[in-house]
Amino acid sequence: MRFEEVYRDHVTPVWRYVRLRVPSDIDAEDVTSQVFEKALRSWPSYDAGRGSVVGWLLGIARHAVADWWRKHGRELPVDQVGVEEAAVDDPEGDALRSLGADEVRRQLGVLTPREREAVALRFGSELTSAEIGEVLGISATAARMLVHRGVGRLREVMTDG
Amino acid sequence: MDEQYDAVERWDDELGDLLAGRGGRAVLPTEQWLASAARPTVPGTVVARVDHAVGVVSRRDDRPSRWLTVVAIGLAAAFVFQGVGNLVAGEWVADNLGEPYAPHPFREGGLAMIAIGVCAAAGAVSRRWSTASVLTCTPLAIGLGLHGFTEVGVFAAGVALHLTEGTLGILLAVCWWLDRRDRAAARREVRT
Repeated sequence: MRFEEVYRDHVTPVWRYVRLRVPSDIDAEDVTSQVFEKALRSWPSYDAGRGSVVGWLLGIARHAVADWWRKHGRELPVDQVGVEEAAVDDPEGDALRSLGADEVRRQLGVLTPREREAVALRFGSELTSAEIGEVLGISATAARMLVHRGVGRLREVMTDG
Repeated sequence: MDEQYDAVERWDDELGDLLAGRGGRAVLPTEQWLASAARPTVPGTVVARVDHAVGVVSRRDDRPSRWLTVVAIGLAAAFVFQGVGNLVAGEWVADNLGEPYAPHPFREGGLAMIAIGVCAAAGAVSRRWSTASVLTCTPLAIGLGLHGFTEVGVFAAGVALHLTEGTLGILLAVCWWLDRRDRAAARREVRT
């Protein structure tokens, strides 16, 4: 399996996942590019026996997104209005709610970080519950419940809105 | 509790059908909206950007270390120098060695030395080719280096050239090994 083929097949799910996790499309482009740079460097050490390629790539994407938030999280001019909705300390959620480039990102800002991640993996990357569990290090059932809870919360918020 | 899990599993199946474009009409509007809003077409700019980044990293990763490059070029220069010397100054070399001049083997040997010089230079251009460079050039260079000792006291220029080739041949193998080791360490770092 050549990296070029892997990249062509998986650039879409990776970009869609990243796009749901950062506020703007420009940021998503930057992070997606970094994901594939890192993936290319560590491609020779990829072990197919330890998991699927898409899971491996999305694992790299999760770290890249976390790095992005560590670097840029404090610089973002987050509007504090509505931030009290956050149940826990969640700068990503705060920023997405106030700065998300589109409706879907603003709505995902109301979820907990874990739910947001699971929903992004299910809807953006189209992973199955088993694959989400593999990426997040939880069981398929737990992943399914996480997505279900996240979508339920979105439904409430959107109905209220 | 089991009923709840079963219901969520059925919902998840419906969701899978929806995402795969196989129906999934039983799911609610929120899911349908998410399935559409979360999956836009990837813009061409993203693909172009990633293409560029992957291409740059790919080329950078294929570049051998500086020391490997320097040594490979040095060995290539020594081989080509010997090859060209055989072609243009074979008679002079034979005179200095006190051997009869034979144009035919000198010409063919000269061409072979230039070819092996190109092989050594390939190791300076691409990391993928450096293994082939080491496998072909190091044994020859060491052989020539050892042969150089037989010319001590006979032909100083020959001794200097062959010992240089032998030393560079050993250095080429050492630099290649260090390059591989450093690259493996860099990969481990990226992974963690």
